[in-house]
Amino acid sequence: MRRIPIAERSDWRASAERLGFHFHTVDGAPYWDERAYYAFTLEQVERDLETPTLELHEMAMGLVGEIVASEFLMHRLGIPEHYRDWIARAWREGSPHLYGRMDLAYDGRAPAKLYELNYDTPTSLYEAAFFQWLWLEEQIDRGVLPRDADQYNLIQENLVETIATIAPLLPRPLYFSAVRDSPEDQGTVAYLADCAEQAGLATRRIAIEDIGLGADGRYTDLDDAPIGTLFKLYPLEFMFADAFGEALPTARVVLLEPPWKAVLSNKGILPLLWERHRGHPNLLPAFFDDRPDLALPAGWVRKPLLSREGANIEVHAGAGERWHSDGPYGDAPCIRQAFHPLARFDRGYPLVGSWVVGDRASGIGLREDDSLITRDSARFVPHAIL
Amino acid sequence: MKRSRRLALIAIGQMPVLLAGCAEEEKLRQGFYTSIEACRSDGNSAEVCDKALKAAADAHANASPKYASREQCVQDYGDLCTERAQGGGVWMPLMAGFMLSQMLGANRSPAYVDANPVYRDRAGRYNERFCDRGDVGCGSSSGGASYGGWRQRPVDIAPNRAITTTRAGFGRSSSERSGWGRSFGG
Repeated sequence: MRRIPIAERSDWRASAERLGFHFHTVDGAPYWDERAYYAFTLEQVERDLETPTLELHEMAMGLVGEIVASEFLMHRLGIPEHYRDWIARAWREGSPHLYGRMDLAYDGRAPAKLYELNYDTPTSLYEAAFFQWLWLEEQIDRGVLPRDADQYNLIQENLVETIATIAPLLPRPLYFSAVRDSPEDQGTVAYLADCAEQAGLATRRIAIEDIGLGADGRYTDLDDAPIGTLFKLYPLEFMFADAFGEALPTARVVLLEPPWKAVLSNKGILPLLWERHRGHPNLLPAFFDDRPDLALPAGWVRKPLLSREGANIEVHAGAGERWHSDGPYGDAPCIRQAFHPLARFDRGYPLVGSWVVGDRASGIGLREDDSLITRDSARFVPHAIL
Repeated sequence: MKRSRRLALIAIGQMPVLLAGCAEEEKLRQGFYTSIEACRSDGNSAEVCDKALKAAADAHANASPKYASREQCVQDYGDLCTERAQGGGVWMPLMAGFMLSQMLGANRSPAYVDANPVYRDRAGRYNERFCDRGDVGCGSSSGGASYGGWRQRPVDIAPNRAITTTRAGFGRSSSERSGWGRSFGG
Protein backbone atom coordinates (compact mmCIF):
# COMPACT_ATOMS: atom_id res chain seq x y z
CA MET A 1 0.00 0.00 0.00
CA ARG A 2 1.56 3.22 -1.19
CA ARG A 3 0.46 6.79 -1.71
CA ILE A 4 1.61 7.85 -5.15
CA PRO A 5 1.39 11.39 -6.51
CA ILE A 6 -0.09 11.52 -10.03
CA ALA A 7 -1.12 14.18 -12.53
CA GLU A 8 -4.74 15.25 -12.27
CA ARG A 9 -6.88 14.79 -15.35
CA SER A 10 -7.08 18.28 -16.75
CA ASP A 11 -10.82 17.93 -17.44
CA TRP A 12 -12.00 16.16 -14.31
CA ARG A 13 -13.93 19.14 -12.95
CA ALA A 14 -15.90 19.43 -16.18
CA SER A 15 -16.57 15.68 -16.11
CA ALA A 16 -17.72 15.88 -12.51
CA GLU A 17 -20.12 18.72 -13.29
CA ARG A 18 -21.45 16.92 -16.34
CA LEU A 19 -21.92 13.65 -14.44
CA GLY A 20 -23.83 14.95 -11.47
CA PHE A 21 -20.89 15.13 -9.02
CA HIS A 22 -21.61 18.63 -7.79
CA PHE A 23 -20.00 18.29 -4.38
CA HIS A 24 -16.48 17.58 -5.66
CA THR A 25 -15.25 20.81 -4.07
CA VAL A 26 -16.62 22.16 -0.81
CA ASP A 27 -16.15 25.78 0.21
CA GLY A 28 -13.15 26.02 -2.09
CA ALA A 29 -11.44 22.97 -0.56
CA PRO A 30 -11.09 19.77 -2.57
CA TYR A 31 -13.27 16.85 -1.59
CA TRP A 32 -12.47 14.75 -4.64
CA ASP A 33 -8.66 14.81 -4.68
CA GLU A 34 -6.85 13.02 -7.52
CA ARG A 35 -3.45 14.58 -7.06
CA ALA A 36 -2.44 11.23 -5.58
CA TYR A 37 -3.80 7.72 -5.40
CA TYR A 38 -3.34 4.72 -3.15
CA ALA A 39 -1.80 1.66 -4.77
CA PHE A 40 -2.53 -1.81 -3.38
CA THR A 41 -1.31 -5.24 -4.38
CA LEU A 42 -3.98 -7.77 -5.34
CA GLU A 43 -3.02 -9.79 -2.28
CA GLN A 44 -3.56 -6.80 0.02
CA VAL A 45 -7.01 -6.26 -1.48
CA GLU A 46 -8.14 -9.86 -1.39
CA ARG A 47 -6.51 -11.13 1.78
CA ASP A 48 -6.56 -8.00 3.94
CA LEU A 49 -9.71 -6.17 2.81
CA GLU A 50 -12.15 -8.26 0.79
CA THR A 51 -12.03 -11.44 2.88
CA PRO A 52 -12.20 -9.69 6.28
CA THR A 53 -15.04 -7.47 5.03
CA LEU A 54 -17.17 -10.48 4.21
CA GLU A 55 -16.25 -12.13 7.49
CA LEU A 56 -17.04 -9.05 9.58
CA HIS A 57 -20.31 -8.60 7.70
CA GLU A 58 -21.34 -12.16 8.43
CA MET A 59 -20.37 -11.81 12.10
CA ALA A 60 -22.46 -8.65 12.36
CA MET A 61 -25.45 -10.16 10.54
CA GLY A 62 -25.16 -13.18 12.80
CA LEU A 63 -25.82 -10.94 15.80
CA VAL A 64 -28.95 -9.21 14.54
CA GLY A 65 -31.39 -12.02 15.33
CA GLU A 66 -30.12 -12.30 18.88
CA ILE A 67 -30.19 -8.55 19.50
CA VAL A 68 -33.70 -7.92 18.18
CA ALA A 69 -35.02 -10.81 20.29
CA SER A 70 -33.57 -9.31 23.48
CA GLU A 71 -35.15 -6.39 25.32
CA PHE A 72 -31.92 -6.05 27.29
CA LEU A 73 -29.69 -5.70 24.24
CA MET A 74 -32.11 -3.36 22.47
CA HIS A 75 -32.04 -1.23 25.60
CA ARG A 76 -28.24 -1.34 25.66
CA LEU A 77 -28.17 -0.02 22.11
CA GLY A 78 -30.44 2.83 23.12
CA ILE A 79 -33.26 1.78 20.81
CA PRO A 80 -36.50 3.41 21.96
CA GLU A 81 -39.07 0.96 23.26
CA HIS A 82 -41.72 2.10 20.81
CA TYR A 83 -39.71 0.76 17.85
CA ARG A 84 -38.40 -2.53 19.20
CA ASP A 85 -41.19 -4.86 18.10
CA TRP A 86 -41.31 -3.23 14.71
CA ILE A 87 -37.55 -3.71 14.25
CA ALA A 88 -37.76 -7.34 15.37
CA ARG A 89 -40.68 -8.00 13.03
CA ALA A 90 -38.84 -6.48 10.06
CA TRP A 91 -35.91 -8.80 10.76
CA ARG A 92 -38.06 -11.91 11.16
CA GLU A 93 -39.98 -11.14 7.99
CA GLY A 94 -36.78 -10.71 6.02
CA SER A 95 -37.20 -7.03 5.20
CA PRO A 96 -34.61 -6.57 2.43
CA HIS A 97 -31.46 -4.49 2.66
CA LEU A 98 -29.29 -2.93 0.03
CA TYR A 99 -25.92 -1.74 1.19
CA GLY A 100 -23.53 -0.72 3.93
CA ARG A 101 -20.01 0.54 4.42
CA MET A 102 -17.55 -0.53 7.09
CA ASP A 103 -14.66 1.69 8.03
CA LEU A 104 -11.33 -0.08 8.33
CA ALA A 105 -7.97 1.14 9.60
CA TYR A 106 -5.34 -0.44 7.36
CA ASP A 107 -1.67 0.27 6.79
CA GLY A 108 -0.79 -2.34 4.15
CA ARG A 109 0.80 -4.72 6.65
CA ALA A 110 -1.12 -5.45 9.85
CA PRO A 111 -4.67 -6.85 9.73
CA ALA A 112 -7.30 -4.22 8.99
CA LYS A 113 -9.20 -3.15 12.11
CA LEU A 114 -12.90 -2.38 12.14
CA TYR A 115 -13.61 1.16 13.33
CA GLU A 116 -17.36 1.04 12.80
CA LEU A 117 -20.23 -0.01 10.58
CA ASN A 118 -22.11 2.62 8.57
CA TYR A 119 -25.00 0.37 7.74
CA ASP A 120 -27.97 2.72 7.74
CA THR A 121 -27.05 5.83 5.76
CA PRO A 122 -23.62 5.30 4.22
CA THR A 123 -22.39 8.09 1.95
CA SER A 124 -19.33 8.65 -0.27
CA LEU A 125 -21.04 6.12 -2.52
CA TYR A 126 -21.14 7.85 -5.90
CA GLU A 127 -17.50 8.85 -5.73
CA ALA A 128 -16.40 5.34 -4.73
CA ALA A 129 -18.65 3.41 -7.09
CA PHE A 130 -18.65 5.57 -10.19
CA PHE A 131 -16.28 8.53 -10.29
CA GLN A 132 -13.34 6.52 -8.93
CA TRP A 133 -13.95 3.87 -11.60
CA LEU A 134 -14.05 6.54 -14.31
CA TRP A 135 -10.76 7.97 -13.02
CA LEU A 136 -9.02 4.61 -13.42
CA GLU A 137 -10.44 3.97 -16.90
CA GLU A 138 -9.41 7.42 -18.11
CA GLN A 139 -5.95 7.30 -16.54
CA ILE A 140 -5.35 3.96 -18.28
CA ASP A 141 -6.72 5.26 -21.61
CA ARG A 142 -4.47 8.29 -21.43
CA GLY A 143 -1.41 6.19 -20.71
CA VAL A 144 -0.89 7.63 -17.23
CA LEU A 145 -1.53 4.30 -15.53
CA PRO A 146 -0.42 0.95 -17.01
CA ARG A 147 -2.85 -1.17 -19.07
CA ASP A 148 -3.00 -3.84 -16.42
CA ALA A 149 -3.85 -1.47 -13.57
CA ASP A 150 -7.06 -2.54 -11.83
CA GLN A 151 -9.35 -1.43 -9.04
CA TYR A 152 -11.37 -3.22 -6.41
CA ASN A 153 -14.76 -1.92 -7.44
CA LEU A 154 -17.91 -3.85 -8.30
CA ILE A 155 -20.02 -1.51 -6.20
CA GLN A 156 -22.34 -0.11 -8.86
CA GLU A 157 -22.70 -3.38 -10.72
CA ASN A 158 -23.71 -5.09 -7.48
CA LEU A 159 -26.06 -2.25 -6.54
CA VAL A 160 -27.99 -2.57 -9.80
CA GLU A 161 -28.10 -6.34 -9.49
CA THR A 162 -29.21 -6.27 -5.86
CA ILE A 163 -31.97 -3.74 -6.53
CA ALA A 164 -33.26 -5.92 -9.36
CA THR A 165 -33.19 -8.93 -7.02
CA ILE A 166 -35.14 -7.29 -4.20
CA ALA A 167 -37.52 -5.40 -6.52
CA PRO A 168 -40.42 -7.84 -5.95
CA LEU A 169 -40.27 -7.02 -2.23
CA LEU A 170 -40.58 -3.27 -2.78
CA PRO A 171 -44.16 -1.93 -2.97
CA ARG A 172 -44.56 0.94 -5.44
CA PRO A 173 -44.26 3.79 -5.74
CA LEU A 174 -40.59 3.73 -4.82
CA TYR A 175 -39.33 7.03 -3.44
CA PHE A 176 -35.76 8.19 -2.86
CA SER A 177 -35.45 10.80 -0.17
CA ALA A 178 -32.84 12.97 1.54
CA VAL A 179 -32.65 16.27 3.39
CA ARG A 180 -33.57 19.02 0.95
CA ASP A 181 -30.64 21.32 1.58
CA SER A 182 -27.81 18.81 1.56
CA PRO A 183 -26.41 18.78 -1.99
CA GLU A 184 -24.19 15.85 -1.08
CA ASP A 185 -27.06 13.70 0.18
CA GLN A 186 -29.25 14.76 -2.74
CA GLY A 187 -26.40 13.72 -5.05
CA THR A 188 -26.18 10.32 -3.38
CA VAL A 189 -29.91 9.59 -3.66
CA ALA A 190 -29.94 10.79 -7.28
CA TYR A 191 -27.21 8.26 -7.94
CA LEU A 192 -29.04 5.44 -6.16
CA ALA A 193 -32.23 6.28 -8.05
CA ASP A 194 -30.19 6.05 -11.24
CA CYS A 195 -29.03 2.57 -10.22
CA ALA A 196 -32.65 1.59 -9.56
CA GLU A 197 -33.68 2.90 -12.99
CA GLN A 198 -30.92 0.78 -14.49
CA ALA A 199 -32.45 -2.17 -12.66
CA GLY A 200 -35.70 -1.39 -14.46
CA LEU A 201 -37.60 0.26 -11.63
CA ALA A 202 -39.53 3.51 -11.90
CA THR A 203 -38.32 5.91 -9.23
CA ARG A 204 -39.50 9.15 -7.71
CA ARG A 205 -37.89 11.62 -5.35
CA ILE A 206 -39.13 13.65 -2.43
CA ALA A 207 -37.37 15.75 0.20
CA ILE A 208 -37.52 14.29 3.70
CA GLU A 209 -39.22 17.48 4.86
CA ASP A 210 -41.99 17.12 2.25
CA ILE A 211 -43.17 13.70 3.35
CA GLY A 212 -46.73 13.85 4.64
CA LEU A 213 -48.65 11.72 7.09
CA GLY A 214 -52.13 10.71 6.00
CA ALA A 215 -55.15 10.25 8.21
CA ASP A 216 -54.91 6.52 7.52
CA GLY A 217 -51.45 6.48 9.07
CA ARG A 218 -49.49 6.13 5.85
CA TYR A 219 -46.72 8.41 4.69
CA THR A 220 -47.70 10.39 1.61
CA ASP A 221 -46.09 12.17 -1.30
CA LEU A 222 -46.90 15.66 -2.52
CA ASP A 223 -49.97 14.34 -4.33
CA ASP A 224 -51.24 12.77 -1.09
CA ALA A 225 -50.68 9.31 -2.52
CA PRO A 226 -49.27 6.70 -0.13
CA ILE A 227 -45.54 5.93 -0.34
CA GLY A 228 -44.93 2.22 -0.89
CA THR A 229 -41.18 2.03 -0.45
CA LEU A 230 -39.03 4.79 0.99
CA PHE A 231 -35.29 4.81 0.46
CA LYS A 232 -34.24 7.37 3.04
CA LEU A 233 -30.74 8.79 3.33
CA TYR A 234 -31.78 9.99 6.76
CA PRO A 235 -30.75 8.16 9.91
CA LEU A 236 -33.30 5.88 11.54
CA GLU A 237 -32.60 7.44 14.91
CA PHE A 238 -33.45 10.87 13.49
CA MET A 239 -36.74 9.46 12.25
CA PHE A 240 -37.39 7.98 15.70
CA ALA A 241 -36.90 11.39 17.28
CA ASP A 242 -38.95 13.34 14.72
CA ALA A 243 -42.67 14.01 15.00
CA PHE A 244 -43.65 11.46 12.33
CA GLY A 245 -41.46 8.72 13.78
CA GLU A 246 -44.17 7.41 16.03
CA ALA A 247 -46.17 6.35 12.97
CA LEU A 248 -43.35 4.20 11.53
CA PRO A 249 -44.46 0.85 12.98
CA THR A 250 -47.96 1.19 11.52
CA ALA A 251 -47.25 3.13 8.32
CA ARG A 252 -47.16 0.05 6.06
CA VAL A 253 -44.07 1.41 4.33
CA VAL A 254 -41.03 -0.60 3.30
CA LEU A 255 -37.91 1.27 4.36
CA LEU A 256 -34.49 1.06 2.80
CA GLU A 257 -32.30 0.60 4.67
CA PRO A 258 -34.69 -1.55 6.75
CA PRO A 259 -35.54 -0.93 10.42
CA TRP A 260 -33.20 -3.66 11.68
CA LYS A 261 -30.21 -1.66 10.45
CA ALA A 262 -30.73 0.38 13.63
CA VAL A 263 -28.88 -2.31 15.55
CA LEU A 264 -25.94 -2.47 13.14
CA SER A 265 -25.48 1.23 12.47
CA ASN A 266 -24.92 1.70 16.15
CA LYS A 267 -21.56 1.65 17.87
CA GLY A 268 -23.01 -0.67 20.48
CA ILE A 269 -22.51 -3.44 17.92
CA LEU A 270 -18.73 -3.07 18.47
CA PRO A 271 -18.64 -4.26 22.11
CA LEU A 272 -21.13 -7.00 21.23
CA LEU A 273 -18.92 -8.21 18.39
CA TRP A 274 -15.94 -8.13 20.73
CA GLU A 275 -17.83 -10.12 23.37
CA ARG A 276 -18.71 -12.85 20.86
CA HIS A 277 -15.46 -12.88 18.90
CA ARG A 278 -12.85 -11.75 21.42
CA GLY A 279 -9.39 -11.66 19.89
CA HIS A 280 -10.55 -11.68 16.26
CA PRO A 281 -7.70 -10.14 14.23
CA ASN A 282 -9.97 -7.56 12.58
CA LEU A 283 -11.69 -6.38 15.76
CA LEU A 284 -10.52 -3.85 18.32
CA PRO A 285 -11.33 -4.42 21.99
CA ALA A 286 -14.52 -2.50 22.75
CA PHE A 287 -16.80 -2.06 25.77
CA PHE A 288 -19.92 -0.21 26.74
CA ASP A 289 -18.87 2.92 28.57
CA ASP A 290 -21.28 3.11 31.46
CA ARG A 291 -19.47 5.99 33.14
CA PRO A 292 -18.80 8.62 30.49
CA ASP A 293 -18.47 11.13 33.32
CA LEU A 294 -15.17 9.51 34.32
CA ALA A 295 -11.94 10.44 32.59
CA LEU A 296 -11.05 8.16 29.70
CA PRO A 297 -8.07 5.88 30.49
CA ALA A 298 -5.01 6.08 28.25
CA GLY A 299 -5.15 4.09 25.04
CA TRP A 300 -8.91 4.42 24.50
CA VAL A 301 -11.33 6.24 22.26
CA ARG A 302 -14.83 7.18 23.35
CA LYS A 303 -17.59 7.33 20.75
CA PRO A 304 -21.32 7.98 21.18
CA LEU A 305 -23.57 5.05 20.23
CA LEU A 306 -24.90 7.18 17.41
CA SER A 307 -22.75 9.80 15.78
CA ARG A 308 -21.66 10.59 12.30
CA GLU A 309 -18.76 12.05 10.39
CA GLY A 310 -16.37 11.83 13.31
CA ALA A 311 -18.39 14.05 15.65
CA ASN A 312 -18.04 13.91 19.45
CA ILE A 313 -15.07 11.53 19.46
CA GLU A 314 -12.77 11.66 22.48
CA VAL A 315 -9.30 10.17 22.20
CA HIS A 316 -6.84 9.43 24.96
CA ALA A 317 -3.70 8.22 23.24
CA GLY A 318 -0.82 6.91 25.31
CA ALA A 319 1.66 9.29 26.94
CA GLY A 320 -1.00 11.69 28.16
CA GLU A 321 -2.03 12.89 24.71
CA ARG A 322 -5.72 13.68 24.47
CA TRP A 323 -7.97 15.37 22.02
CA HIS A 324 -11.59 15.40 21.07
CA SER A 325 -13.86 16.51 18.27
CA ASP A 326 -16.92 18.65 18.84
CA GLY A 327 -20.31 17.76 17.60
CA PRO A 328 -24.02 17.67 18.17
CA TYR A 329 -24.23 14.24 19.79
CA GLY A 330 -22.86 15.18 23.21
CA ASP A 331 -25.65 13.82 25.39
CA ALA A 332 -25.71 10.22 24.16
CA PRO A 333 -24.47 6.98 25.78
CA CYS A 334 -21.02 5.87 24.64
CA ILE A 335 -18.75 2.98 23.96
CA ARG A 336 -15.00 2.72 24.43
CA GLN A 337 -12.80 1.25 21.75
CA ALA A 338 -9.06 0.53 21.99
CA PHE A 339 -7.02 3.35 20.44
CA HIS A 340 -5.61 2.20 17.13
CA PRO A 341 -4.38 5.20 15.15
CA LEU A 342 -4.64 5.43 11.38
CA ALA A 343 -1.35 5.01 9.56
CA ARG A 344 0.16 8.13 8.08
CA PHE A 345 1.02 8.21 4.39
CA ASP A 346 2.83 11.36 3.37
CA ARG A 347 0.48 14.10 4.49
CA GLY A 348 -2.69 12.12 5.03
CA TYR A 349 -4.35 9.59 7.28
CA PRO A 350 -6.41 7.29 5.05
CA LEU A 351 -9.47 5.40 6.23
CA VAL A 352 -10.70 2.53 4.07
CA GLY A 353 -14.44 2.44 3.45
CA SER A 354 -15.24 -1.13 2.45
CA TRP A 355 -18.61 -1.58 0.74
CA VAL A 356 -21.00 -4.45 1.23
CA VAL A 357 -23.79 -4.61 -1.32
CA GLY A 358 -26.50 -7.23 -0.92
CA ASP A 359 -24.24 -9.30 1.39
CA ARG A 360 -21.31 -9.20 -1.02
CA ALA A 361 -18.00 -7.45 -0.34
CA SER A 362 -17.98 -5.15 -3.36
CA GLY A 363 -15.20 -2.58 -3.34
CA ILE A 364 -13.46 0.21 -1.44
CA GLY A 365 -13.13 3.98 -1.29
CA LEU A 366 -10.52 5.86 0.71
CA ARG A 367 -11.03 9.10 2.57
CA GLU A 368 -7.97 10.89 3.80
CA ASP A 369 -7.89 13.52 6.52
CA ASP A 370 -5.10 15.69 7.90
CA SER A 371 -5.87 14.41 11.37
CA LEU A 372 -6.42 11.05 13.05
CA ILE A 373 -10.17 11.60 13.21
CA THR A 374 -11.77 11.27 9.79
CA ARG A 375 -14.23 14.14 9.59
CA ASP A 376 -16.31 15.66 6.87
CA SER A 377 -13.19 17.63 5.88
CA ALA A 378 -11.65 14.38 4.63
CA ARG A 379 -10.74 14.13 0.93
CA PHE A 380 -11.75 11.24 -1.26
CA VAL A 381 -8.60 9.80 -2.87
CA PRO A 382 -8.89 7.12 -5.59
CA HIS A 383 -7.10 3.79 -5.50
CA ALA A 384 -5.66 1.28 -7.95
CA ILE A 385 -4.41 -2.29 -7.84
CA LEU A 386 -0.92 -2.49 -9.34
CA MET B 1 -10.31 -8.24 -12.86
CA LYS B 2 -11.58 -6.76 -9.60
CA ARG B 3 -13.64 -4.02 -11.23
CA SER B 4 -16.67 -3.77 -13.48
CA ARG B 5 -16.05 -3.77 -17.21
CA ARG B 6 -18.55 -1.06 -17.91
CA LEU B 7 -20.74 1.30 -15.99
CA ALA B 8 -23.35 3.81 -17.03
CA LEU B 9 -25.51 6.55 -15.70
CA ILE B 10 -28.89 6.83 -17.34
CA ALA B 11 -30.68 9.62 -15.53
CA ILE B 12 -28.18 11.89 -13.88
CA GLY B 13 -25.77 13.91 -15.90
CA GLN B 14 -28.01 14.34 -18.90
CA MET B 15 -30.80 16.41 -17.48
CA PRO B 16 -31.42 18.03 -14.15
CA VAL B 17 -33.29 15.66 -11.89
CA LEU B 18 -36.44 17.26 -10.63
CA LEU B 19 -37.78 16.56 -7.20
CA ALA B 20 -41.27 15.12 -7.06
CA GLY B 21 -43.93 17.73 -6.89
CA CYS B 22 -42.23 20.27 -9.09
CA ALA B 23 -44.19 19.28 -12.18
CA GLU B 24 -47.12 21.58 -12.78
CA GLU B 25 -49.28 19.57 -15.11
CA GLU B 26 -52.94 18.97 -14.47
CA LYS B 27 -53.73 15.92 -12.43
CA LEU B 28 -56.89 14.02 -11.70
CA ARG B 29 -57.32 13.70 -7.99
CA GLN B 30 -59.67 11.02 -6.81
CA GLY B 31 -60.95 10.47 -3.32
CA PHE B 32 -63.08 7.65 -2.00
CA TYR B 33 -65.22 8.73 0.93
CA THR B 34 -67.64 6.88 3.14
CA SER B 35 -69.21 10.06 4.51
CA ILE B 36 -69.62 13.78 3.91
CA GLU B 37 -67.44 14.38 6.98
CA ALA B 38 -64.59 12.28 5.59
CA CYS B 39 -64.86 14.19 2.32
CA ARG B 40 -64.67 17.55 4.08
CA SER B 41 -61.83 16.60 6.35
CA ASP B 42 -59.83 15.65 3.27
CA GLY B 43 -59.68 19.32 2.40
CA ASN B 44 -62.65 19.47 0.04
CA SER B 45 -65.16 22.27 0.37
CA ALA B 46 -68.58 21.52 1.86
CA GLU B 47 -70.12 22.57 -1.43
CA VAL B 48 -68.07 20.06 -3.44
CA CYS B 49 -68.80 17.26 -0.98
CA ASP B 50 -72.55 17.92 -1.02
CA LYS B 51 -72.55 18.05 -4.79
CA ALA B 52 -70.59 14.79 -5.00
CA LEU B 53 -72.87 12.96 -2.58
CA LYS B 54 -75.98 14.13 -4.43
CA ALA B 55 -74.56 13.08 -7.83
CA ALA B 56 -73.56 9.68 -6.48
CA ALA B 57 -76.91 9.17 -4.75
CA ASP B 58 -78.77 10.09 -7.97
CA ALA B 59 -76.69 7.61 -9.95
CA HIS B 60 -77.33 5.03 -7.24
CA ALA B 61 -81.08 5.56 -7.42
CA ASN B 62 -81.12 5.34 -11.20
CA ALA B 63 -78.50 2.83 -11.96
CA SER B 64 -77.52 0.66 -9.00
CA PRO B 65 -77.30 -3.08 -9.65
CA LYS B 66 -80.78 -4.54 -9.20
CA TYR B 67 -81.96 -8.01 -8.34
CA ALA B 68 -85.28 -9.81 -8.39
CA SER B 69 -84.75 -11.44 -5.02
CA ARG B 70 -82.90 -10.87 -1.81
CA GLU B 71 -80.99 -14.12 -2.26
CA GLN B 72 -79.55 -13.03 -5.55
CA CYS B 73 -78.43 -9.71 -4.10
CA VAL B 74 -76.91 -11.39 -1.04
CA GLN B 75 -74.91 -13.61 -3.33
CA ASP B 76 -73.02 -10.53 -4.56
CA TYR B 77 -73.29 -8.09 -1.68
CA GLY B 78 -73.83 -10.12 1.48
CA ASP B 79 -76.04 -8.45 4.05
CA LEU B 80 -75.60 -4.99 2.51
CA CYS B 81 -78.81 -5.48 0.52
CA THR B 82 -82.04 -3.60 0.73
CA GLU B 83 -85.41 -3.65 -0.94
CA ARG B 84 -86.27 -0.67 -3.11
CA ALA B 85 -88.62 1.69 -1.29
CA GLN B 86 -90.86 2.49 -4.24
CA GLY B 87 -92.04 -0.62 -5.96
CA GLY B 88 -91.11 -3.59 -3.81
CA GLY B 89 -89.73 -6.83 -5.09
CA VAL B 90 -86.56 -5.18 -6.36
CA TRP B 91 -83.39 -5.60 -4.35
CA MET B 92 -80.23 -3.52 -4.50
CA PRO B 93 -76.99 -3.06 -2.54
CA LEU B 94 -76.59 -0.16 -0.17
CA MET B 95 -74.29 2.61 -1.29
CA ALA B 96 -71.10 2.29 0.78
CA GLY B 97 -69.56 5.58 -0.25
CA PHE B 98 -68.73 7.71 -3.23
CA MET B 99 -65.80 8.40 -5.49
CA LEU B 100 -65.10 12.08 -6.12
CA SER B 101 -62.96 13.13 -9.09
CA GLN B 102 -61.48 16.59 -9.37
CA MET B 103 -58.97 18.16 -11.71
CA LEU B 104 -56.00 19.77 -10.01
CA GLY B 105 -54.21 22.64 -11.69
CA ALA B 106 -51.08 24.48 -10.74
CA ASN B 107 -52.52 27.77 -9.58
CA ARG B 108 -56.20 27.28 -9.00
CA SER B 109 -58.53 25.43 -6.72
CA PRO B 110 -59.61 21.89 -7.68
CA ALA B 111 -62.34 21.64 -10.31
CA TYR B 112 -65.21 19.20 -9.76
CA VAL B 113 -65.43 16.55 -12.48
CA ASP B 114 -67.92 13.93 -11.31
CA ALA B 115 -68.84 11.54 -8.53
CA ASN B 116 -69.98 7.91 -8.60
CA PRO B 117 -71.50 5.50 -6.11
CA VAL B 118 -69.29 2.84 -4.51
CA TYR B 119 -70.50 -0.57 -3.31
CA ARG B 120 -68.88 -3.04 -1.00
CA ASP B 121 -69.17 -6.60 -2.23
CA ARG B 122 -69.53 -9.73 -0.19
CA ALA B 123 -65.75 -10.29 -0.08
CA GLY B 124 -65.23 -6.78 1.31
CA ARG B 125 -63.95 -5.29 -1.94
CA TYR B 126 -65.11 -1.85 -2.99
CA ASN B 127 -66.35 -1.24 -6.52
CA GLU B 128 -67.13 2.02 -8.19
CA ARG B 129 -70.12 2.10 -10.56
CA PHE B 130 -69.42 4.43 -13.43
CA CYS B 131 -70.84 5.38 -16.76
CA ASP B 132 -68.67 4.08 -19.56
CA ARG B 133 -70.31 6.23 -22.23
CA GLY B 134 -69.02 9.61 -21.16
CA ASP B 135 -69.99 11.30 -24.43
CA VAL B 136 -73.65 10.31 -24.62
CA GLY B 137 -74.40 9.43 -21.02
CA CYS B 138 -75.99 6.34 -19.56
CA GLY B 139 -79.58 5.43 -18.95
CA SER B 140 -81.13 4.04 -15.86
CA SER B 141 -80.37 0.46 -15.08
CA SER B 142 -82.51 -2.45 -14.17
CA GLY B 143 -79.86 -5.05 -14.79
CA GLY B 144 -77.05 -6.55 -12.77
CA ALA B 145 -73.38 -5.78 -12.81
CA SER B 146 -73.31 -3.97 -16.12
CA TYR B 147 -76.19 -2.48 -18.05
CA GLY B 148 -76.99 0.55 -20.17
CA GLY B 149 -73.39 1.69 -20.21
CA TRP B 150 -72.95 1.33 -16.46
CA ARG B 151 -69.96 -0.70 -15.41
CA GLN B 152 -68.07 -1.46 -12.26
CA ARG B 153 -64.41 -1.29 -11.50
CA PRO B 154 -62.54 -2.04 -8.30
CA VAL B 155 -61.58 0.90 -6.11
CA ASP B 156 -57.83 0.75 -5.70
CA ILE B 157 -57.50 3.40 -3.04
CA ALA B 158 -58.33 3.03 0.61
CA PRO B 159 -61.57 4.59 1.82
CA ASN B 160 -61.14 8.17 3.01
CA ARG B 161 -57.73 7.69 1.57
CA ALA B 162 -54.39 9.22 2.26
CA ILE B 163 -55.66 12.42 3.64
CA THR B 164 -52.41 14.21 4.21
CA THR B 165 -53.13 16.05 7.38
CA THR B 166 -49.63 17.27 8.13
CA ARG B 167 -46.21 17.58 6.59
CA ALA B 168 -42.70 18.38 7.75
CA GLY B 169 -42.82 15.74 10.47
CA PHE B 170 -39.42 14.53 9.36
CA GLY B 171 -36.38 16.76 9.21
CA ARG B 172 -36.20 18.31 12.64
CA SER B 173 -33.31 16.12 13.78
CA SER B 174 -31.23 17.17 10.79
CA SER B 175 -32.04 20.86 11.09
CA GLU B 176 -31.02 20.79 14.75
CA ARG B 177 -27.66 19.47 13.66
CA SER B 178 -27.17 21.66 10.63
CA GLY B 179 -23.76 23.22 10.70
CA TRP B 180 -22.26 19.85 11.60
CA GLY B 181 -21.07 18.33 8.42
CA ARG B 182 -22.45 18.41 4.91
CA SER B 183 -24.14 15.07 4.99
CA PHE B 184 -26.66 13.54 7.32
CA GLY B 185 -25.43 10.13 6.27
CA GLY B 186 -21.89 9.38 7.23
